[in-house]
Amino acid sequence: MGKLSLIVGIFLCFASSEPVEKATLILYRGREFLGNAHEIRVNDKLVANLAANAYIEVYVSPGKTSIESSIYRGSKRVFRLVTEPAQVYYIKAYEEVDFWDRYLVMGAVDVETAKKEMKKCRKTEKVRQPE
Amino acid sequence: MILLAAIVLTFKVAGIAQTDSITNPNREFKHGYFLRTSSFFFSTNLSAIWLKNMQQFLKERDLAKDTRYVINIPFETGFRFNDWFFSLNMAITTPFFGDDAFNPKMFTTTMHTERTVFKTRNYRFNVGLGASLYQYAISIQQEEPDRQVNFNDLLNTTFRRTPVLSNRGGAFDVAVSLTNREKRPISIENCFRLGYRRGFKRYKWKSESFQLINAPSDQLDMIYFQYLVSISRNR
Repeated sequence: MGKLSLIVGIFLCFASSEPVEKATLILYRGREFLGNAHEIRVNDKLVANLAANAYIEVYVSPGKTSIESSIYRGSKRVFRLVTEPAQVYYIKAYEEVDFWDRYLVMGAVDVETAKKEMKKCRKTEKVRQPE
Repeated sequence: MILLAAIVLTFKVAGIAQTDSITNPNREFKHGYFLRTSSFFFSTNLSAIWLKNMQQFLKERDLAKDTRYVINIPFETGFRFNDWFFSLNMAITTPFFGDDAFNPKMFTTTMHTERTVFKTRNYRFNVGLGASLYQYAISIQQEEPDRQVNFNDLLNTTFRRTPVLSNRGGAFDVAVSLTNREKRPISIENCFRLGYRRGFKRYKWKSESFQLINAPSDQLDMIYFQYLVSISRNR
């Protein structure tokens, strides 16, 4: 009886603790003239190739998060942010092309601006969630 | 609640500011000057030329198969003021181009004005107008492999080679170009240009060796493509 109570107690203990809600990152690129697709890594895990006029949706555990972009014959760029549970973060990216280099410039954008700019963006379906 | 509102407001303002900085270059350079050229050995000024009467003449006599294509080395210098480009472009035929039988040589000098009609963070798309001076010259060498010539008689012997014939004149020039945007005080950019030249009028074929009677006249029709590497100083 004592053992049973202990097992039930443990079970109830786990059952009652709510899972930590993940934060949502929405990384998007608007229309770009001659824009190339860039590899996106979230917390060092490859999640998708982000092309111009497209967006990806990634779910991450709250806390320090890094978004890294890279492309062949281009340089890597990292955007860092601290995420809160159940929050949605919109990050806009734009390809910077120089004679010697190319990379993504990333920055946080407010919800209204992002939603307005994302209207015609297509969702990238092939996204591997980092966790 | 107030704190949350303050954070949202700050984020909103910062967000908007960042959006602008994402879409636009970090710094806008209002004016500058530039030098442009392509590689000497890998020249990228490719032209297709139509000078119909002469080409017909050569074709009928089976003297040259295709006389339309010329590869040049372009050089260009000029300055930019906001979205306006003013430049002087010179193009000469590379000595490595052309077969032995038919040696087309072309020299063009063009004054260009270009205006950016569309620009992004990375590119400028320009349309341009200009005026060119051109000289297109040919000389035809017919090989005589079975003929024997004494070296001592070399200067007294006539060979089956025409004197240099040239068509010289002026032309309108319209072009569209795509260039990288200048992003640094000293910047290197790619420049692609596609253009069309049309002679002001028909110009007679001439020879510098003698007066040519009954020579045909031709009006230039020319399409060209240039790839130039530009070095610019911007302020």
